[in-house]
Amino acid sequence: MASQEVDLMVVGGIALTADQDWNIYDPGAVAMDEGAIVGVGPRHEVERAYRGREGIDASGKLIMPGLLNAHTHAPMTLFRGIADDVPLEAWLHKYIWPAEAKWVGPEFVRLGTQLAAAEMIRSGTVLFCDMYFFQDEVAQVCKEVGLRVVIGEGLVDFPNPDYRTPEEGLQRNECLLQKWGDDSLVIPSIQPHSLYTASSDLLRQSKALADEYDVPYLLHVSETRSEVQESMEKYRRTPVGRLADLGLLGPSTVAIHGVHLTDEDIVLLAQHEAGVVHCPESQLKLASGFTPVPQLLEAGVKVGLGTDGAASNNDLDMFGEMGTAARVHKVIAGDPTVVDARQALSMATLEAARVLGLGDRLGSLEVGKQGDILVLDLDVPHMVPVYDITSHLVYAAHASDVCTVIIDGCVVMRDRELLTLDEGEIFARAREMARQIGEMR
Amino acid sequence: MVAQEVDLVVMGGIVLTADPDWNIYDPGAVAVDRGAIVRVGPRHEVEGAYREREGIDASGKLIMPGLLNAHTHAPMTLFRGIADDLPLETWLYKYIWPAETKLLSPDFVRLGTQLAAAEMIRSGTVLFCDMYYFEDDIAEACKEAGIRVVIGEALVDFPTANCKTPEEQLKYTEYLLSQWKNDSLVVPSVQPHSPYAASVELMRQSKALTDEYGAPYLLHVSETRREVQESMEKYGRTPVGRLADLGLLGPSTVAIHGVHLTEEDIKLLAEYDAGVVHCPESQLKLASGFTPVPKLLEAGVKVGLGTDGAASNNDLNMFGEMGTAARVHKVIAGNPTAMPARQALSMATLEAAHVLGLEDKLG
Repeated sequence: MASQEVDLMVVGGIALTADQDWNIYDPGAVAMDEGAIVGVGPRHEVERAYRGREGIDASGKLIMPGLLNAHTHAPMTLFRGIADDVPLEAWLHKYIWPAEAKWVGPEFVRLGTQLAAAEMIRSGTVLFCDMYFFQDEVAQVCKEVGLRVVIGEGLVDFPNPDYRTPEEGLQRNECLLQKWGDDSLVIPSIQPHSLYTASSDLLRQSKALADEYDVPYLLHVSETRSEVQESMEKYRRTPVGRLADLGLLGPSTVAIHGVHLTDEDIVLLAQHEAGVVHCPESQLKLASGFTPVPQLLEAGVKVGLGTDGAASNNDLDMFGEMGTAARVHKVIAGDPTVVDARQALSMATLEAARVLGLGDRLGSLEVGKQGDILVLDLDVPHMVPVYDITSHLVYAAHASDVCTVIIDGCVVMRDRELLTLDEGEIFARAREMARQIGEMR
Repeated sequence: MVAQEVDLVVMGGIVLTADPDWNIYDPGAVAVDRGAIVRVGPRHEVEGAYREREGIDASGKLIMPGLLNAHTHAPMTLFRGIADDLPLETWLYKYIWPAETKLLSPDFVRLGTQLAAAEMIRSGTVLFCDMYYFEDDIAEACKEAGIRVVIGEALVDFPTANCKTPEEQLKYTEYLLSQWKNDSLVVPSVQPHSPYAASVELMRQSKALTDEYGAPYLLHVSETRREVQESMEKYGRTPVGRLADLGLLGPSTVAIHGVHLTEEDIKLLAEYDAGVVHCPESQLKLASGFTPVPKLLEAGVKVGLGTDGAASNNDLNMFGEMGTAARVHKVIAGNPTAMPARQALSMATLEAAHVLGLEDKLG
């Protein structure tokens, strides 16, 4: 049988597929054509079946699916470290909101997204789900960079730098749904900020749009204890209970954070097949609490991991999130067997894809899925020797071990060199922006 | 004024001194001669005062003190990832102890230390405090690599790969103390494994060695709830209470972990000026709990950070420990102002040096 010619072959090395059966091939290989995976398996089998027009030698390295960051506010990289170790209210009212009111505009969002894209690609993230303002700019940057993104305007009741009224916000978002609906890299979504910043009308109208266009519907839910208390006082319902009452829970609904959940909340999320995004480092740093991940998983709720914005984490490194998630839930449960390494890695790959309704396209190395692939260096002291590659990825690997990143079959970082971003220029502009912001403070 | 000639000048860049006043110079510089810092300050002041035989240009970079890892078992890098996500007892009894019994040797320890040294130097650690076996070989490997180390043979009631009896272990420890006491890089110490793995006799005799040689005395204390329960059942005292009763608490005593501490324990540690080592990532991963760092600091107890061994962390990266410590204690306290960044960095620099009795030299 003659071998078939394809666009790109990555030949390993250990190939960790992160598929349902957790297949690992050593040595393994992946063949890609027209942006999609056409072959994955033992190296000799893939090599026999395919010839690559381009080849990447990953011998002695690790091949794995790219990481998915299920919740962030990418442009906030420009506010990283502006105010840490302060109470949440002071952080929001005294620092973040005034700074946003003064500085956030299309140029700010473009630059912040470029900076975030550099950090994310370097740390192996191939898709991020973003909630912020000026999302068309975020989408444009990601197209230029070749990074996958789920975009969603933060929909709120009050005027903001992007739009003056909720109606305008909805219109802006519908334009995004139409403009980016068929794009290969950009996935539009609907993202009301939360139940306390968006009215029932805005929540309902935006849900109707999500249903009409069949896109994910994400919002911050039960992040802090005071949010839940206020909801109980005002509506005699938890935020999740309110979502259910308003008919807003469904398979496309995603509760970002979901920290303070009652048993009934968890049952509701499971019944409606809704998803949850856990952002461990941000939840720790803001002292909000922890998403009850083991309980959610037991109830059958989909859970993905996210970094949250760089102003509350303070990095966009999914390796850090996996390691923190795997460790923190053990001590909370008093049981070192909960959230094991495979579970933590799944929440940053296939489970995150399922939360975002992309489980059939992304999240694992399987034939038919998009060619979003990482190559990791194993020639670093903390990865030698290897007994269990999954354990190493969660408990020992660093973002800096990522050497090559392929998204949609295109190489965007080769041997730690970013091919689609000019970091020098981005850094210089970000420093200049920070100088101006610093002067205002 | 003629500029003085020195071995090395590092010119910045931001200089973060991490001194008690948290001085930061931007741009700053550091002048080093015969292994010691002779001047640190604004770049133009240092530049004019010294001529360097070697210069490092750190423009646009950050200059800071090296990180101190106050507790690890370096050779266990060779067991990294061998058994994760298991109950503590299974991990210890089924994997780690059998593997150690079968494999430990001077060569194993040397190789594991070399691997650990590569990882630690790459992640900015300049000193680690080690408890393991064949510590003389660990000291040799560190001398060759040029990394600072506090060595301490784990003292236990049972035979080890290195020593058949507690008496032999004590003799070996005394050999380490006299062999390495004047070394520039190697700091010998005394490290009984824990109050449950070392007899009263062994703890007392080893403490006498500590006092004689002026060396730090470190042991695992109150790491798990079960350890404290067993101590209460057997002795009617917490492990820290027992240390106090036995006369083993003092400024050179360091309680590694100190997770499950009572109010009285904290008071005792403070009264005796003892130190504590917090290993956040290992404590999370083994589900042991968290060292009550804010309470200890409030009581005036010295607290340093450590990684613990690579089989329970699973890396030796002090940046990870600082970040985890700073974040975890916020959520435990329900207060995002708990454990600010400066405190976390201090626990990996000057406070760690303090815990190990090295604050005059390092940090």
